[in-house]
Order: sequence, then C-alpha cells, then structure tokens
Amino acid sequence: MIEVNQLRFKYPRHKDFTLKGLDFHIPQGEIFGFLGPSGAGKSTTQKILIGMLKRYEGSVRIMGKQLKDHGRDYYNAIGVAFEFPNFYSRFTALENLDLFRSLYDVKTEEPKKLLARVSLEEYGHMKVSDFSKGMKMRLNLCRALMHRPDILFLDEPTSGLDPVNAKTVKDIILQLKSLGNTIIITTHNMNVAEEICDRVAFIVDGEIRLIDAPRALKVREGKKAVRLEYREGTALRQADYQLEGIGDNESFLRLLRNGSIETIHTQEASLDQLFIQVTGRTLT
Amino acid sequence: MNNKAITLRPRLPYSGVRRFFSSWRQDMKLQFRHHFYSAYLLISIAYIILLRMLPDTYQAKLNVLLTFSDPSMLGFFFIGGLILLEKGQHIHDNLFVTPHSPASYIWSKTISLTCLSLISSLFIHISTFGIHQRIGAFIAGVTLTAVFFTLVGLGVAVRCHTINGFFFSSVVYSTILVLPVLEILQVYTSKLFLLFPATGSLLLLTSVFEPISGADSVYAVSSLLIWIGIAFYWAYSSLQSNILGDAKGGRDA
Repeated sequence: MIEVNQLRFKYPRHKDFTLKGLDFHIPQGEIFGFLGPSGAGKSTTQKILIGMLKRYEGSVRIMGKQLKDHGRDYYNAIGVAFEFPNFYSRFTALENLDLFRSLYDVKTEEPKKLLARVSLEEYGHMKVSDFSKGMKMRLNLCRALMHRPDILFLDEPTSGLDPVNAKTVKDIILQLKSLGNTIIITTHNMNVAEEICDRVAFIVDGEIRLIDAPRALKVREGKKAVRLEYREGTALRQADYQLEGIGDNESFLRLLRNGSIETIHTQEASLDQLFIQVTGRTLT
Repeated sequence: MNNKAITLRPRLPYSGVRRFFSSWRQDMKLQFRHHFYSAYLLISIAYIILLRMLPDTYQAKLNVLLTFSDPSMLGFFFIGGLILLEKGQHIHDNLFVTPHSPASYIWSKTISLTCLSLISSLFIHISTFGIHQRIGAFIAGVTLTAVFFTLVGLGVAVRCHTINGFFFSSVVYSTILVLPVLEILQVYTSKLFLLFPATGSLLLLTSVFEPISGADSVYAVSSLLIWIGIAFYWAYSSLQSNILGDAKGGRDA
C-alpha cells in the first residue's frame, strides 16, 4: 500500500536534512505507528505522505503509484485527522461536516451516523466554538472518515480524550482495520501504540532506528524472566526467576505451592523502556 | 482482513462542478454567518439616503464613485477578513487535504464576494435610478471590478498574519490601484492611467450615464480581463507560497 525508499527531506533555509533516508513498507490493512519525540521527523513524514510537502528526495509509492503522480483525486482515497482539531467555529458540528463532505468527489457517509459512532449525536446542532477539546477530537475523526478513505492518517488520535472515548476511538480504528483499511498513526503515546499498532517505527533525528511489531520488540529486547511478589509473614518480598528451566526451579515451585504469591509479571521491556534503550531519548 | 481493491474509487458524475458550486454556497453561508450581508444592507440603505438627498446633477458622479470605491471594492477588504479568519482558525490544512483545489478555493471566494458586491451595488443603483437600458454596462463594471479587487485582496491577505498587517498593506495597494479616480475628480490626468485596471472600471460605470464608444467598451472590458488574469496568477502564487507552505518546502498541487 505504501512503499517508501530513501526518503530525504530538508526544509528551505535549514542546514540539515530533517529526514535522512527513511525506508519502510506498510501493507494494506495494517495499523502502523510512528513513534518519536517532538522534532524527530514524524510530522514531516506524515506531511509528505499526505502530499503537503512535495520537495522530497527518494521514492514514495502509494497505491501502486508514485505520490508525485497522484492528482487531487488522491484526497478521495485518504483521510487525515491532524493533531489539532480545527473547524469553522461559527458553524455547528453538522454544518462543518456538511461543508467538508461537499468537497469530496466520492460517496460519503451520513454525518449524523458518524456523529453517533463517536457519541456526539446530541451535539450536531451545537456550534463548534462551544465544544470541548475531547469533543473536537471526536469530530475531527468523523471528518477524516466521512468519505470512507482507504488510508487513514491520524495524528495523536486519543489526545485529550477520557478513557471511555479513547476506547471508542481505538475500537473504531480496529474496526476499520478489519475492513481492510490501512491506518498510519503518529503519536507520543506508547500505550496507544502497544494496544492497536501492528508495527511501530521509532523515529529519532530523522532516522528510523527500529521497526517491528510491539510484542516482538518487547519480547526480543526484554528480560526472559518473571518477577514474583509474595508474603513472608507480614513482609512483602520480591524475587526474579529466569524463564529458562523455571519448571524445575525448586524455589519458584515452592512459592507457587505455598500460595503466598500476590503478583507474577513477565519482565518483557515496555515500549517506553525500549525506546530509551534504542534511541537514548525519551518521548517528550 | 478484508482484502479490498486499492485503486482510486470512481468519482461521482460532474464532481468538479458540483464541488465548486457547493464551495461557493458554503462561502456565502459563512459570509452570511459573519453578518457581511446584514452589514452591507445597512451601508447600502445609508448610501441610498445620501444619494437621494443630493441634487440630480451630482447623483450620477457620486453613484459612480460610491459604487467603485465601496460595493465594488468591498471584496478587497472582506476577503482579507475571511482569509485571516481561516488562518486564525487553522482551517487551511484541513481544506487542502480534500480534493478542493487552490484555484477552486480562490474562485469560490471571489465569486461569492462578487455576488455581495453586485447585490449591494444594484440595490443602491436601482433604488436611485431605477432599471434602465444601460444596466448591463453597470453590471459588467461592478462584476469585473469586484473580481479584480477581491483577487488582489486575497493575494495581500495570504501574505499577512494579522488584521492590522492586512489593513496597513491594503492601504498601500488600494491607494495605488485607485489613482485613476483623480481623473474623475478632475485633480490630475495622465495617459499612464490607461494602464490601470481602475480606468476600465470607471469607464464602464460612467458609461451608464454618459454612453461611450464601442472601442472604449472593448478597451475597458479587455483591460479588466487582462488585469483579472494577472491578479489571479498573483493570488494563486501567493496562496501556494504562503498558505500551502511552498516557502516551507510545501506542496505544488
């Protein structure tokens, strides 16, 4: 679906390249996450993929065609939800959706149905200026979905959402994937990446340091051990056991048998830890 | 996974035309919501009262000057307000990740404001002079003038970041562009004024009261059409470099 080779980009009047030769392929139906700190090049990559920045070097093939050869028809096939949900504030939610809907050349969803999917059906006639950030974020997703795009670009899709609405958004993304849509997420949020991304790419200083499935990364880079917390009298104790040969480890088996264990956790790395380990940077 | 086709979907019939008219309708709705129409209803009524209070001998000349300097040029200032409003609400990125093209964006804004100019100008003119045979020349004069000045206003507005910046720049641009008014006021005349778009505008508007030759009509319309072409090209380039981010390494679609 998306094939990028040796992608380089330099902003005018900047000395250094912001993107220094990215290579990645995203097959159809995948949820792919770009992770990285501010200024790493995530947004620049997304802007290139959505056709906002054209003066790049390298090859970007999308839907079997070089991005530079796509006309404005390309925008009938992609949906974009920017990080900041901007709308005409004097228009209502439905008026905004109607306006953006009228700009597409393909069949579109009924705006009221979209609002219902994100629990905004009661607010269709409310001016967007009266919306909270969370409501605007959900409306932003509606706008990106209204023309049933094949590829969806989402920048921080759960930013500003409470846990219930964040789950609604994640469920919608997973449902779209099940329908064969390709979704590219740009985020700082490792939990979102872990929960819904099939693969993630760590971007730092304009380079991709690592690409893989979150689970594979965590297992590969983590310790192959379990950590137990158990009671000994009134004291809370902790012990680590290597997974290799754990079935024959008498100490571990004794704790299992005597029923004093309160928690058991495998010691795979978290994506946060992994990111710091690989890049030497935090995600801020 | 549902392995659906990954080619571009077929467009609905006449989608470009439908999108343009829809965008035009939305622009007019936005202008209505921002009280452009109610403001110009009041202004037009004030002008009608003023014109009716004047002796007949001054009405024609004042109508030409009023129509040229206000309803015809209103697009120059209103487009600034609209563009800066959209800039302030960071709406352009969202507009241009749809099939809506920069050219379509420019024309829907320009034509919608030209409609407001035309409605306001005709309201003032017909209320004072009634409907007459030369109304066609009046409509042509107002339409071509409004299109030209709205395009120039758009080119100025996309370069500005604040309303104050826009008004400062607009004073410079509008002062230069309206210089041929000096000839109507009999303050100063120059052959160079023939190169100004405003000369064509004033000629067409004056022709309503003092018929002009066919050659003058052709000159006026041709001059304005050429200037509209230049203004469109300038507005388009300004939009590309200032809104679509060419200056920041942006797009050219």
